[in-house]
Amino acid sequence: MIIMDLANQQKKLSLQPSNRQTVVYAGKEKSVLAAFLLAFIFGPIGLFYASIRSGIIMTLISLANVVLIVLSGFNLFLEILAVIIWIICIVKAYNAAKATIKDMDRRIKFRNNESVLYKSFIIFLAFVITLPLIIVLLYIIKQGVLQVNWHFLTHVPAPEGETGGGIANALVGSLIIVAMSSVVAIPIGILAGIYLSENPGTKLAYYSGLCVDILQGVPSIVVGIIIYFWIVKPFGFSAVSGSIALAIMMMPIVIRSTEQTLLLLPPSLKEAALSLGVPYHRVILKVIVPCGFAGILSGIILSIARIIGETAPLLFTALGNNYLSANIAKPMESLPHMIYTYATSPYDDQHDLAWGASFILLMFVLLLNIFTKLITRKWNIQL
Amino acid sequence: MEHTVVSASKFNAWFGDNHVVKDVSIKIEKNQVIAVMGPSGCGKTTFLRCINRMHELIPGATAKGSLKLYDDDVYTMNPIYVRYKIGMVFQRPNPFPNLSIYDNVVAGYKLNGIKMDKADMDNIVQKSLTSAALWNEVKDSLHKKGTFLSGGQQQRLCIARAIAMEPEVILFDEPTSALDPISTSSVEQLFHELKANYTLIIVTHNMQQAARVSDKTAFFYVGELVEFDETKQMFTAPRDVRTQNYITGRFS
Amino acid sequence: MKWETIFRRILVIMSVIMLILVAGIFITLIVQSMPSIKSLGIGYLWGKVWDPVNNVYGAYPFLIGTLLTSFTALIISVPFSYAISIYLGEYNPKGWLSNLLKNTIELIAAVPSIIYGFWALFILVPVVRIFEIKIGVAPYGVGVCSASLVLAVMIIPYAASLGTSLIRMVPSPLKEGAYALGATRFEVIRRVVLPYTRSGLFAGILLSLGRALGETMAVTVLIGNTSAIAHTFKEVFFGPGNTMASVIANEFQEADHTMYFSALIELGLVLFFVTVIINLIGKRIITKYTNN
Repeated sequence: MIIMDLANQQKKLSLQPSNRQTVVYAGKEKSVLAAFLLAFIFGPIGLFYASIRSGIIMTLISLANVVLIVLSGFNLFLEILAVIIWIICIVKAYNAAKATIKDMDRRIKFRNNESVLYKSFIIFLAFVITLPLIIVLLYIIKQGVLQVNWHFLTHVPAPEGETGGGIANALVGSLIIVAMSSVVAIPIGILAGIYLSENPGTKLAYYSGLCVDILQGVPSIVVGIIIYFWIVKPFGFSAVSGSIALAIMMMPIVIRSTEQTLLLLPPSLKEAALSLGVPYHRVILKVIVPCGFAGILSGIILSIARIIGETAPLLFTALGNNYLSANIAKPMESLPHMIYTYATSPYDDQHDLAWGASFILLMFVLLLNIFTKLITRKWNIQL
Repeated sequence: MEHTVVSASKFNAWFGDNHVVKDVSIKIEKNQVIAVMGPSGCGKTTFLRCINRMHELIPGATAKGSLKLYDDDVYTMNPIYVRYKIGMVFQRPNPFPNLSIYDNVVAGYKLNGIKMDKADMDNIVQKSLTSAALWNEVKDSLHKKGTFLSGGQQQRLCIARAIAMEPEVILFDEPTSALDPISTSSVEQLFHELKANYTLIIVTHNMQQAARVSDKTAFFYVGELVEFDETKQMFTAPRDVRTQNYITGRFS
Repeated sequence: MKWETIFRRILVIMSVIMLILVAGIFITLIVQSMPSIKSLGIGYLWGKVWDPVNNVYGAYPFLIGTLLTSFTALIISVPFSYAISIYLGEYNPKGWLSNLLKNTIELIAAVPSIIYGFWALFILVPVVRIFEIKIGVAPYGVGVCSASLVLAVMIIPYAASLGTSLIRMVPSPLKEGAYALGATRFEVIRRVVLPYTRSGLFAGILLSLGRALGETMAVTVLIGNTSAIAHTFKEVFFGPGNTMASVIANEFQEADHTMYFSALIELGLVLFFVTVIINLIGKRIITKYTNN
């Protein structure tokens, strides 16, 4: 073992040799690059260069893994495990070799470089993920913008195989369905949110809040199934059923944002109003809610932006409709549903319609999100 | 000259455009306890943090001038090495919550990836905790997490952590302002003992504390070093009228 | 006085509606899958054959499909959400670039899933097909691979936004203590920030997983819709498959007899359970965290 003496460093500087000698056993110095490459290529065996103890442990683990792979049939998970073990060996080799650098200056320089390298790596990963988004957006815009014209917006799709047509039925349908959902979800959502923010400790608030969390996590297809049984079975496919399914998905968002907004309001507000002799319901409706208006509004707009693009709940409820219809008791087309149907169809014209519809839908969602951002920025709220 | 451990010459520091430390020149000698006092916002903490180069961690913070550890300018040395040689204890005790007491003491080594034989580590832990007057209280629970320790004990743990790196100088940023009187006096007692091996620079708001523990006191006012003298001298017959006003409580 | 009481009662009723909804969902799922539960029993979960024509139902192919797509998507997404959290939480919490990145990430979450699915069907799938030819698998294009890739991008924002807030909450004195001991920035992140936020970051991953498990449309469009199981890992991963959500979406309309129907509903029940439990665990960890 070679002794690395921190006091050596002091001799290079003017520091007085201290009577305290920090002695650090660093072992034989290993090249970090060599350790990394050896572990990269040879895995657990390569680890032996950097650290004998770790090498033994990891080799034993990989042997056990190999034995299991050979014995068992479906070895998918074990193969993934083998990859993980390999990566662990590389990391261990790197760390072990790093700890053996003798010269303090070199070691500090190495660590500084490591820190810079790490930062570059993080920045790379963080920003590279914007590429897929940009590609998707650009492509949709490129393909979709060509489709959109007045005809496109005001006509229904042409029969299969024919060109022309538009998305009027889907456009109107989406607007009607979302409007109906909002009519149901907004009042219930705001009122439930008020209850949760006003009665935070009660049992009902706890369980109700739990249910809100559950509803937020329910897969959209399951919501569709449920509404199928509750409303479609007795009453038939209809736009109303689709709206109710979407309303169930809207509610948790509205509830949570209302609750959070109201909880952030200063309690002195309510107390001041109550002390003036104002009855409770007026305090809430005329003082508290208007004060939290911006936050509640953002929550509502966000929930609309969310459900306007949902397809799964509509698959077995509102279905689709090739004709422009405002009959809410009958099936109705919607933008996401149309995109789904036409995307998977064999006809190119329908693909074109789907691109146009995607463009319109995307624009809607973007505008709603930008609008929300403007509201939160202007009123400076936290959501 | 060989006894001067920390020296500053026309040292300045800024937060962006805010000139917080103005042309400070001071010579601090080995194995002494120096108190640094002054009203809020006078630059004393900023100056302290420049010594171990913690100041520059804040975005927009800059510094200029000469600040030396012995004969080497701290700003030409590698900051990591500076922090090995100059330790710091903060206002609120900040032991690492996910590490045991033992691991907290050697955190300086572990964080920097320095590997040691277990025997040496045990040795360092015992020495540091003993110097921090904490050994007897925690020797049986070294591998527990330090959450059960009182404020004073946690602060002494942080002191042990700084001592474990065997620095030349230990900086204290209002180390007892968050502690109760009993813990405060246990920490102050430590200062007397640590003086033998280290140089201590203590920023404090508490004049009585400065009078109790320090050999020399530096008085800062609006970024300038107004007076630096033997503590006894400064408290009985200060030379500058601003020092006089501060000590007599005309402002604080 | 009368109006006050009415108002308070209304508030209570609205909250109770939440309970009713959840209970209703639960009960409906169980009641409708009763026929299939009764006749197929627990073996349904590892039955490998799904053959509606001959009334043989086994959920195993869909469990594998769901787990494979979700976990692959999760593994792919974790490095990215981790990098975003660290960048926005530690390196660059304020400023125009930081806001730009934050808004971009939120935008990723805002795009409807069907649009991702549609785009991927026409742009990503041909690329995957070329890749599959190169590695010698049947060039379906659609399948677990494409679905996982798109899903990975879609779930990044969930872990990323949670991770960012958590990392910002690490108290500065803790980090300063580490810096004062001579640690580099990387070491402070690795040894102080990450251990401190460990369980919270895990909750973020759980939330991403919950989202991945429940995602229907993008996966349905991209997964290829086969209920057979392939044999080698390569075939499973690069070939078509099905997830619980996608098989329900595809075959619900076609279910003509009760057993078929209720087998599908039972899948919905399993899906419901799994996603709800994962989401609740994640949320529980977060509340414990923010209360600390």
